[in-house]
Amino acid sequence: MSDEGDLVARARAGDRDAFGVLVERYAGTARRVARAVLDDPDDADDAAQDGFLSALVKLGQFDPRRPFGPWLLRIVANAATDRRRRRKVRRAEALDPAARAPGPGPDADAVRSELGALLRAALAELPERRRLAVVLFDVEGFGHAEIGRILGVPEGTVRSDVFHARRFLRSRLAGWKEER
Amino acid sequence: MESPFFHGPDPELGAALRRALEPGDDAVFVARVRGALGTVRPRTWDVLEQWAGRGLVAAALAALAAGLVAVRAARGPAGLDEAFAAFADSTVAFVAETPPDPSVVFATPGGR
Repeated sequence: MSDEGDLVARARAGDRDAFGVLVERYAGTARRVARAVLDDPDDADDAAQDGFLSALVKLGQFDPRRPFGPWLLRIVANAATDRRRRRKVRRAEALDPAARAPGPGPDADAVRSELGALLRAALAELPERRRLAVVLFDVEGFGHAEIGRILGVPEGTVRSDVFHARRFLRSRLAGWKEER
Repeated sequence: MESPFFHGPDPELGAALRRALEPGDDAVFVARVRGALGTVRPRTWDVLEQWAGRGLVAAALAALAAGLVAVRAARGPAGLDEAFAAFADSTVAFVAETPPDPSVVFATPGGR
């Protein structure tokens, strides 16, 4: 049994420490996935936590023959979507003006901050599924088939979503580079 | 322009997106979630589902054992006739298909 399989088996048997190790392992990915859905970082962390706790409750339903990561991220993505719906956050909600404003000077941190704000604003304009698809593909490195299982859509739909999301984000990046 | 048939990774976009979504240090978040794990109780149905298999086997064995005890108690202790009948049946095991050799049966010990 793999290391992760062993952790999942122990967690299923009620070992909370084993589940804690899984939390540690997937914290970064889960938080980024939640952040792709929710603009507010605190909201995103709350959603990621909801996802982990929900996964713990549902652990008995997990098929141990399948990889744990995609199963967990599906729950996290659903938790983020639910939270977003509950809060009635608009998809094209304007970004915090402070975050959108250019940095104090032409240093690298300010440029990174500005670029980050631009990309988050661009992501917020994308339909939620495309957002998740491009983040899972280009940031987290999942394959199309796995993303399809996470999002509950066919692999071809994921390919299309990633393509359209990339095209949109690149156009925004190109515009930003021209302005500078 | 990317071809719709190109599905390789885009390291530049990936790195920029990762930086944009980077939530910061995971340690505080992990500690928070670990702390909340203790408050989670499994759903009743999941617990029942996990125990269902073992529970059914245990219940079947208990029912079988209880049934045997009840049957024996209803029959009461074995009577004398029943005990002799059982003994008579057991003698069948000692009956040979061919008669024994008389010289062996009537021989005296020591050959006298």
